[in-house]
Amino acid sequence: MRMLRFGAAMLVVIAATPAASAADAAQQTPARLDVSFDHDAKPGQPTALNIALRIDLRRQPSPVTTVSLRYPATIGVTTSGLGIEPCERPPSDFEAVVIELTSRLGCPRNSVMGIGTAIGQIRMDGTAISREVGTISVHSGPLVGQRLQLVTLVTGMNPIGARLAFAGEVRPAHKPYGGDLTLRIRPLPSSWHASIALSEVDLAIGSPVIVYHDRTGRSAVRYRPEGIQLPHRCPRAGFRFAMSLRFADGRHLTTKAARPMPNVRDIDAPAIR
Amino acid sequence: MSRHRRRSIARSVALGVAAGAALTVAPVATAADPMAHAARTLNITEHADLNLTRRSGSTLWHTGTATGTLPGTVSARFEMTLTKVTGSVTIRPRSGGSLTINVVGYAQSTGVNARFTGNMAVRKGTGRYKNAVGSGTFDGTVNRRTFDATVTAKAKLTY
Repeated sequence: MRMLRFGAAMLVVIAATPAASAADAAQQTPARLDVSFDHDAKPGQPTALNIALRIDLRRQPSPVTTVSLRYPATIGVTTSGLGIEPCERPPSDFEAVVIELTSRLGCPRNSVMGIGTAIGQIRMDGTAISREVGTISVHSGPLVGQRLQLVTLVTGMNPIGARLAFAGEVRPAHKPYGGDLTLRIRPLPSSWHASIALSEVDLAIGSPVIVYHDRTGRSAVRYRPEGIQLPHRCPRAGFRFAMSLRFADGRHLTTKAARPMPNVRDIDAPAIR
Repeated sequence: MSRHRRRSIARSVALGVAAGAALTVAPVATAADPMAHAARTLNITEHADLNLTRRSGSTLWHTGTATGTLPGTVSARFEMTLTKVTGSVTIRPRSGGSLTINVVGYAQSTGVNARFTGNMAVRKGTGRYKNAVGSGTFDGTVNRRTFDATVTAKAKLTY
């Protein structure tokens, strides 16, 4: 699948010890995050932003509660064609976490910003009982203040089919970052006597498989929204990302990374004809 | 006549010529002042239709037309970070001159046609607007499929 191709891969290792080298950190830390653009990403063109999160639950058994990704100001999230219709879920959905399957998607089709897969471990009273595989979709929500609300829906496929709803947001970030995309993974209500610990997430924001519908008159037109807009000139210091994870046990891991976009050369911005 | 005396006379003549020149220039300058136009203040209401011409990362370039108090052409460059828009807009009225305006705006809604509002201030001008100052507000909508925008601006301009 195209979204799983991680050409132009940018390896970002969540390091507990900032001074450790990336290789050391990869061996020592319980979590790893890879961020990449599409393998055929070009300056000035839209691309998907592929996020791959891996958490070693044997070394970090406490569930991750917050995933935060600060992205560079030079990439165009707002100037993409993503999230042109807000998904508005009631706050009770995020408190209940497990929601009813009221529709196939659960949010307007034109609110999808990213899709992917997630794998988690379901634990009953602290004991792991199953490995759940599901799909994940991130939707644009309404604006609240100067923060864009996000709705994350995880649909279990095997062995348990359940839909989970998590809140998130994109908020302003100080330069060189353009925004801070935060997903909050709330624990299941205590009545479930269970917890879910995410171990793998593959999310492609602006994935080329996202399809929107536009209604012109009586006919509906399907189209692929443009993904994250890359600048025509790569920043000299590379595209800077900063990531942090918070776990239920209070542990906090964070790191920064900057890599130039490989195999591309700067070109002047051509005019749109 | 001694060399010192000749130098002294020459210096006096030079000073006299300079003073004369200054006196000659001074009335011209004084005469020019009334000719300089009195500062005018305009309450401007402009409507601009902007079409996307170029896009690079989070930067958008637009051109378009303005109608209203100063009808003419418009070119603009915007930096968009999440919900904040900053940039500069240059209006070239058909009557001549140009005005370059700094803008800061914020998105007020999401959706295909996203609303935004903001403030603006004159940064510089040319021609009759060379010494222009002014500020105002604007609001508008941007189509998030095409990134074409319509803007209505109200400002007080002194030039």
